[in-house]
Amino acid sequence: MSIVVQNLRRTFGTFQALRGINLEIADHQLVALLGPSGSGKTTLLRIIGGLDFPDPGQGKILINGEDVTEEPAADRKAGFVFQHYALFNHLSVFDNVAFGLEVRRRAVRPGKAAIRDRVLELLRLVQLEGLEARLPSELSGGQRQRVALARALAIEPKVLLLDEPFGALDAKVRKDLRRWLRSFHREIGVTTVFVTHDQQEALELADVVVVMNQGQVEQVGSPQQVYDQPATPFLYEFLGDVNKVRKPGRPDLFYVRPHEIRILFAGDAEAEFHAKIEHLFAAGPSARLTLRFQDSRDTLDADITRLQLEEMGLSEGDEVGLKLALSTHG
Amino acid sequence: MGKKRPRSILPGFGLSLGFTLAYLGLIVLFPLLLVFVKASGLGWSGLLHAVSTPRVLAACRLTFGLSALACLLNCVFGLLIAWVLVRYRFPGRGFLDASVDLPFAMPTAVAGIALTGIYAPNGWIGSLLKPYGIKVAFAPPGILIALVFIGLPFVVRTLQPVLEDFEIAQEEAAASLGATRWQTFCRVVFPQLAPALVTGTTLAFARAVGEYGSVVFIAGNMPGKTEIVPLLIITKLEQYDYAGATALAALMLLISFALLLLINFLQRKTLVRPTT
Repeated sequence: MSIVVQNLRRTFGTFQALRGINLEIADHQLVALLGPSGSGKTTLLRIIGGLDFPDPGQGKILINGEDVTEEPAADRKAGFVFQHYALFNHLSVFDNVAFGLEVRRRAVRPGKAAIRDRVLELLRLVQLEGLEARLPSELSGGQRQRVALARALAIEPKVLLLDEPFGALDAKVRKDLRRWLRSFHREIGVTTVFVTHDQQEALELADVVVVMNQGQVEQVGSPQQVYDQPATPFLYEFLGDVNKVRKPGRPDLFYVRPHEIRILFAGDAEAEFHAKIEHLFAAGPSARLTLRFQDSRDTLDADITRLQLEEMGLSEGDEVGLKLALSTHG
Repeated sequence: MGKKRPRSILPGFGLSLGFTLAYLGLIVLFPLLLVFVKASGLGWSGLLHAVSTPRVLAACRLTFGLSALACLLNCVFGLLIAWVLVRYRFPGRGFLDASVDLPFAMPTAVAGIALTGIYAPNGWIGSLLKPYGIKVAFAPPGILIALVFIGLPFVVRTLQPVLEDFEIAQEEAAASLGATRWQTFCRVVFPQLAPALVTGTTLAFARAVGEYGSVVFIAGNMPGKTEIVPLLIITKLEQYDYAGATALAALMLLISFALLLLINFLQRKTLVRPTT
């Protein structure tokens, strides 16, 4: 279901965590709230989930068109997954997932058999069949996170909210789980918002990326939009590697990404600038060159393919010509 | 040729276990064993005779009954106090927190005299209750109050660290899954506090059973009515009835030990300790 955030403000003491947030999230979308720590992304997620509230009278939350700003978490039906799982340590995997159904009022509580079917189905969905009798302490980090997800889904949430869902996991598990979550989201189709400070995670996983900084939304767009057309200097520096350089002989700063630089032979007529290869690093899928402009102290990084590196026969100390790709912003 | 033992990262198991056994033996078990040795001088019939008098039985009922009641009261209110001290921030919290330890630190006789002063028929609270015919000091309720007083810190201090470590996120998770505050407390918080609560309550009970100093002042010490077992033991000693005193001591030891074992057993059986 859709989520609308209007003019949301939240202050902790003198610290303004959110300074007037406006945001619209369409049904079925997978949205990343991306930003550095302290940017307010987790606060925004908690307010959407009803675990925190805006300053009195300062903003509204609408879920599926309905104003839920004053509704406590228990009535909101927002599935929340916590960074450190927050599983109930004394309950088995089964009882953890069944919790949201067991606490319902008798009139709307499914029967024992129905609960059992639903829990087992969810455990199958998150690929944890056969582990229902385990305690959370007997599971790995990735498994715990999936139990938390199944538990949140058990209540048939209107929206699914994930707070740094992979933050506490190691790199390999993170990557697997990320891929899994994307296909999983496609399968269940619940509007999902997740918080992350990892730009790669946000760009790889989300349909829409919301970049936040200092309690404000800096840009909303598809991963490609926010990466290729950053709206502000902050976004340029925050998203991906970027060179911030002065063109030789010109006072103005400009931003250019390492892959947006074409490396040419020094004598090439197309070359806009000339630079010297100061350092060459080729242990990886691509080669990274650190270049220094002639008559300048500025350096910039450029990525080229290993193939191009071999074909051109470049090595440290060589002179090269540069041409900057079109999407570069001044 | 000795067998090669698997190497352990923690050295000194043999030494430290040996020391532990010797120390516990010397400090705790040996003196208590002596009680049984002394008591066995009476023979079975003599023992049985010594502990089956109406006066002894009444004292046992009073001591164990009131100790159980006192530790249950501490269980409820100790939990409440620990909860307030951990969960809320308010002026004077540090002072309140420190005052919880006072029953540990004070000579129990001082506590006994202070409580008696307050609850005696001419004391501050005692004089208020007197018109309604309620007698606290020199009656069982007085003993109960003394036992609650000395047992409280055990419950509060065993619960506090567990409560402090409790993840608030678990309560938030419960709320987001639709649980009410009460359901969250009963199904999520309380079961995870229960092991510590049982431990604290058991300690409070054990302390109450053996308590002497604070009770003798407020109890009135009437044989068969407000006389506790520890006092009876002292009385017997003062009358040079060493055999009778040790017989009683042995009986108390047996009952206390049996109860503690039972509680430990129940705790292992029914409670799952969270391991993370």
